[in-house]
Amino acid sequence: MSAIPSSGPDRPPVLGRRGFLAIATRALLWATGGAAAAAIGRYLSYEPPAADPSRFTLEAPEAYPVGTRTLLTIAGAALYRDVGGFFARSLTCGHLGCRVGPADDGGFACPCHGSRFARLGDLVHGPAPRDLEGVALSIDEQGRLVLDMTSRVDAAWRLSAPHATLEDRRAGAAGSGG
Amino acid sequence: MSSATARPSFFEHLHPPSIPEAQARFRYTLGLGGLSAFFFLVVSLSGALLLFYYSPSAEQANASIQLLQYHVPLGWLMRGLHFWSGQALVVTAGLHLLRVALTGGHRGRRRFNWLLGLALLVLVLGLDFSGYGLRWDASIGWALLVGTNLLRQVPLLGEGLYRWAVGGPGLGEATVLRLFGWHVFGLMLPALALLVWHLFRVRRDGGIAHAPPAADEPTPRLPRRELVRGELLAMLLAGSALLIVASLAAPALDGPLDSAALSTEVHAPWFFLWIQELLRLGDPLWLGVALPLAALTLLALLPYSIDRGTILGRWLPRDGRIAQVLALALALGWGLLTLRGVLR
Amino acid sequence: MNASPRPMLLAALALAAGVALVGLRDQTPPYAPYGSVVPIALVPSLTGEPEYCLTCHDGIEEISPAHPTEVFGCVRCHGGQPLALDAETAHAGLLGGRNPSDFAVVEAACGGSECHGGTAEEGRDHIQRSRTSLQATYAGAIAAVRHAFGAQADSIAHFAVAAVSDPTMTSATGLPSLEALLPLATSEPAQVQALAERCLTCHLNTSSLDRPGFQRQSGCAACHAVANWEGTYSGGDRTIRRDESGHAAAHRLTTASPYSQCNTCHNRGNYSLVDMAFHERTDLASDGSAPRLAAYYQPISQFSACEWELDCIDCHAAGEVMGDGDLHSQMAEVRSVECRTCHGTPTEAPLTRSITDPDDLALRQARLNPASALQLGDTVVVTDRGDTLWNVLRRPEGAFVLTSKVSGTVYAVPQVSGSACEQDPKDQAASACHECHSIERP
Repeated sequence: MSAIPSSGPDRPPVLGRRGFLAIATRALLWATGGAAAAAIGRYLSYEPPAADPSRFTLEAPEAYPVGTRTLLTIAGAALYRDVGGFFARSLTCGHLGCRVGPADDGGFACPCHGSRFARLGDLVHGPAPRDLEGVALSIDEQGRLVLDMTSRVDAAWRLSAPHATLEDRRAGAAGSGG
Repeated sequence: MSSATARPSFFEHLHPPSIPEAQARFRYTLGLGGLSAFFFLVVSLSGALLLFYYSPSAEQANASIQLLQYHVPLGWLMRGLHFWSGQALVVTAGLHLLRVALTGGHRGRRRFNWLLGLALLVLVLGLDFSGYGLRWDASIGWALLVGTNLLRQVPLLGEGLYRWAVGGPGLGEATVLRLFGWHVFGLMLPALALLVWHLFRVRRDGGIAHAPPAADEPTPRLPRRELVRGELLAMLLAGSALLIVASLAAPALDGPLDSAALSTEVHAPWFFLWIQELLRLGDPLWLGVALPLAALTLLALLPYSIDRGTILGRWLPRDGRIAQVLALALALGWGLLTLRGVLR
Repeated sequence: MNASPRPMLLAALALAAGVALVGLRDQTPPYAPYGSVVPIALVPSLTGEPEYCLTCHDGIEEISPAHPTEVFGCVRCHGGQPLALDAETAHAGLLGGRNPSDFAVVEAACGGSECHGGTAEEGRDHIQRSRTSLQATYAGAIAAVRHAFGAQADSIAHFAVAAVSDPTMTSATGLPSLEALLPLATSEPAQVQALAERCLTCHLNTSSLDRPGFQRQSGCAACHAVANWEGTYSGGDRTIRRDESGHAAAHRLTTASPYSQCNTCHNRGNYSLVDMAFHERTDLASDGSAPRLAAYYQPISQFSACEWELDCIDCHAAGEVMGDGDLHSQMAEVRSVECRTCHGTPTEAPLTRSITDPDDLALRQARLNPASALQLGDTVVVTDRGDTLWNVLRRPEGAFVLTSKVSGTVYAVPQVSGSACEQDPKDQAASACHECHSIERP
């Protein structure tokens, strides 16, 4: 905009009124530009609250007999029931997050880099560093099993089956969380 | 930024090194073309930002706009800027057309650029209408139905145009996505191309139309630095006006479009109220298609067949009465029909 | 020569002013006056989608324990836009305005086979029963007036307040359909037209006269959303005005409707067939302060002690009040409770039945009332049409007790058998009992 005269021993003051206004204008415009950039940054940072995809409602406990392993493809987990009760394993491989699938030997195999797991999710071999994670189960108000994929429980965790039947809940017995 | 001896900036380079001062008088052009370009810029940028949140599906469209309006930080502002700059664009483009018609700026070698501008206006109206439709709410339901059914009335091409616009035998799931495609790309890209061509033609045709200087008169010229400064000034003022209007008046938003429960108040968008008024009078083919097309054709022919004058650079030149009367009559007709629609 | 920097500065200031206005607007959203500047989200388990109604309506009462807010949310019943934060957009698509139980929208709001629009076998046919009940159709009054003035030869109903049809008839007096009575039907006698114009405000299809004492909502809320004398709201929602009539007292549904709610239509006065006008009763204080004994019935009525100490619904149970699902022409066709239902006759004890099914409708109804201690295995009184009065129990030792649904007070029910009652067993009309047992009002 306007040239700013250099100062010297016999010169008038460095910054005249015009110079000051010019700088003020520039400062204001830069500040406004900064505010606009910050605004756009704020705008783009919003994340809408997603419907919770981590809880999955399954069937009533009677649908899963003792000794079975049920593959839940939508939830990405395997549901087991033994004499101790219900438990579940996440089917997400601990290596880089691929979904493991059932293998011929009754366990699991990861299609991405070849990790192998036993029937209950224990690590057999492969680049994966650990067993398949255990996830928690609970019973909802209508007596159905609910899987919470964000939870982590150890391999010995069980949802006790005798307390989990619908009839018992109707009769007032509290459903235990194991 | 730059002193008299510094090298020109990028923005200065977009302009000729200097232009005759006669071209740059605000009272002559009213800056309408420049304002239109500015609003086009704002509407494009704000639209690009809206892309991050808008969901072009029949179930999610309205809800995604509600998310923008109420929950995304400053989403209300992006939506407001997009809407108001869009409506301002239609207004300034129309006034710019009127200005050019009334000052003879369409004459001589600028005839083709007049056509480009007219095509731009049509595209801008299409962009505004498709944008309204993207709200997918109860208040645009009937307007969308009528507007697309009107397309059907065009002889020979009607059914094809309708299918292209709507994406199926009737308004439905595919329509939102179609409108989105037209709005963001199908109409936008040609509009951008035509805008660039339009601006190029302004330069190639010798800049803004002005009276050729007399032989012995001095012809002062405006350096591009001053021109850019003036444009920046106008943009700052227009920008602050947009921010103020967007803060004070939010664009309307109704609940999602549910064909079972359309509202009883049926309004075309404001820029098509004139067509709605025409359609009240009778046959959709004659009144909704033929009449607007005839008006458009008259406007297109203005510099080719109707206006034979040569005076440039002044308002209401003496040798262009027929064209001026025609332009004013069309503008007045549009205005009266729109007023009638507003007052209902 | 350089131009003055002043225009640019002013333009930059204008832009800064615009930015400042934007900031101001961002800090004062439209819902700020209601207290919460941060939107309040509610994610009901039934839908899983966030709803922001509480941003403005924070403080509103939970509608009922049977409809917990964290399960149902707001939008499932009321409609509207869950994401919106200004009143106009948020209320677009609201079902029935303030009252989603209005019969115009009740199917969408309260219906569904899992809710109140299901089958009679499951006891989920509330909407169908109330829409065909006499309180909704007003068919009895219309038929009587048309018969009185010669528009029809008998007293069988042909018209109702709104057109309604009922393809399945389970009772002998059920009708298949009724047409709407239109005020402009010039084929009707003048008095019937007057009826259609002036007298059709006491039925469930419309809201009431806007006067103190008459204040009630339309639809299901007419009985289930209790209003006060002035019809003002006194709950916790800041968006609802306190000085406006036409509201229920709180955003609450109850099955324990007190007598005062019934009296928003009943006992308000008398119609005169001479001048086809409604004459309000004049014996009550206009501010609703009249005591129960004075307010309960009109001066011309006869009633016994239980008929004013108890509330209406303690005897007139759901089967009578909400109808049996059929269109009827007269109250007498649905009314089944009599004095002997609870008190018996000299030779017969009251009819009873035992509750043996854990899904018994009586148990479900009783559980909605906190005063009730009804258990599986209890014996309750039934009318001779089969309507169960679950609040009247027979104790194992043979005594009968009644628990008031509204006050919770437990009353011993004296039995006629073994008492000094001198009734004629063949005459079981209420007027016969009133001959000895009616109360003199002071």
